[in-house]
Amino acid sequence: MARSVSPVIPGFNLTLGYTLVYLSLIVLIPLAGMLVYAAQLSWQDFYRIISTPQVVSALKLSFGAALVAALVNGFIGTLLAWVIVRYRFPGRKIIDALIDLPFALPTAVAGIALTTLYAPKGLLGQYASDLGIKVAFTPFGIVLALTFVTLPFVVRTIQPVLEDIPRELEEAATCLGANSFQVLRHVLIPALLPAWLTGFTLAFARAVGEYGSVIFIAGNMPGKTEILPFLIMVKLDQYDYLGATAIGVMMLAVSFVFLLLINLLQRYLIKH
Amino acid sequence: MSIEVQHVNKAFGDFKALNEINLAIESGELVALLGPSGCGKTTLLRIIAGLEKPDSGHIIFNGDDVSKRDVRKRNVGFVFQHYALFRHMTVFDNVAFGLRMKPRRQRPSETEIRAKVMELLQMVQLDWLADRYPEQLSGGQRQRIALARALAVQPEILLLDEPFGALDAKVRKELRRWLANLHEEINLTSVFVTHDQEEAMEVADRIVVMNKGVIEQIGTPAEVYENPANEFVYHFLGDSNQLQLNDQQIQFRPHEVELSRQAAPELQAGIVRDIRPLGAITRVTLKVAGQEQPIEAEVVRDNINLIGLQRGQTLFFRPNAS
Repeated sequence: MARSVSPVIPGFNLTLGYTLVYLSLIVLIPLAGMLVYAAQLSWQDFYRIISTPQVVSALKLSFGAALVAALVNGFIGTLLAWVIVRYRFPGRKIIDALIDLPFALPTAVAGIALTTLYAPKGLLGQYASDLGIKVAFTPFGIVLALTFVTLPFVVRTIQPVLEDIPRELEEAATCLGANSFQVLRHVLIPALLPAWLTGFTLAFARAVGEYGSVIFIAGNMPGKTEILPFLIMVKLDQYDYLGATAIGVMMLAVSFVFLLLINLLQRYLIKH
Repeated sequence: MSIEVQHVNKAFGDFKALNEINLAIESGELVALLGPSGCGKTTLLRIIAGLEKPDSGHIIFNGDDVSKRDVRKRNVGFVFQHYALFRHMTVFDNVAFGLRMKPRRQRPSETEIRAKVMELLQMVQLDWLADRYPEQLSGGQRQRIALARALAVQPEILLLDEPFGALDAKVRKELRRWLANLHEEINLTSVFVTHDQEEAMEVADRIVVMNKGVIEQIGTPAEVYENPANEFVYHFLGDSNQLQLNDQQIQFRPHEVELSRQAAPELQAGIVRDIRPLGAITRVTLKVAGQEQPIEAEVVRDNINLIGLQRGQTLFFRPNAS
């Protein structure tokens, strides 16, 4: 590639080559292997596996719960980032550090902790039951676990962008007569949206694949609180490798379509 | 619209940013708030705009106390040092912002907005950039767009915070002349903050010299320069020399000096350290025996004593401060 300014890391061929090898070893070859393995199935068999009521309900639950969790984090994460960036208060650094904790904790530990807390007799679950809300062993519990695990994504993608937005921008808008809602709608949200979408996508993708934290709180009732990764594990336990692979391929395809759509949306937003 | 600032105080924690500020600005005036950084000039400007609340005191526009009035209702245009343009909007949308934010009933139609924005862009001579994004503009262009944006809502007062601070010297000079002309055309009451005394002298009708949260002097550029109220104003408004004569300390400006090649009883001797042609004037730096600080003399470039002058030669001078 002819460039007037030489790049900091030399050698386009070398860096591209390295990138491709790396990507192949880590991502492409395992995924391709999965596709090749699934190719043993005929279309009919494949369709039969992924269209059983159990798989379909798990599919809806997995993607539905992931979407809800990503949306919840999209909102709470933005709020958290806002508080951390815009206010100075004692304990701010601690909150800032706490946000990354869900990443560091083994997800199973998180799952067990949440289950213990929110079980009908648990420390928080008992009050929820009094109000008639069941948390553990319901889709609500699954969303809760997913929200916990994916908390850092939106906060951490929005935070630097928010820090870069000067106060003056809001002041300028206010001087021009914009009210708080208009400042939010016309100044802050457009500036944050691309980063927000990135965080949202990461949270969503991570939530779709999440296993460890969910299986404890889900209760795994067939057709009700089973998620797709759990079904894959069940099939593996039964030595049904083809069936597990078929579900894996389906998840991959659905995720890919979702991510592609979000990416297209993001591109559109950056352009306009 | 006239502005009156009455007994304004403002502290940030223990730091007293403004101390009993009283100031009256007449309608149509162009006033500079001049002072070193941290003197409270920007805080005062922000208080006038309503972006900051004073701890005590009043702000009065045309006889109306606006101290409690929200920024949005004060009808002031504010121009920020770093432009504060909306990055995700085109130049056109930036300028149109204020008009589009108006409540539905007062909001002009899109056609009217279009006409108004283009008129403003023509006024700042940047109508050809309407579809660009702020990132694609130079600093000077951005600041003119910021100005057009502030003027779009037809403010009665224009406040500018170090409007040329982030620009390079040449653009800055052009832009401040342009601003002075613009001010004459549209005749708004304008207040701008600067730490550059040259800028204040060149643009302002009146200068408010501030230091450490208080006003040191208010006056026309000529008044503050020629009759400085105190040491601070004297030093802040221009370079000055200190000369120890017998047991007397004399202060004078670099141009308030008479040079000679010949010794005379009333003249001091100095060794030429440096000769700098600065356009219309030439600055000669002289080392005087018995004092650390050199003397700077600025004379017209065709001054007879400069002919053939070399470093290391001895020159004689006399302060001729009036």
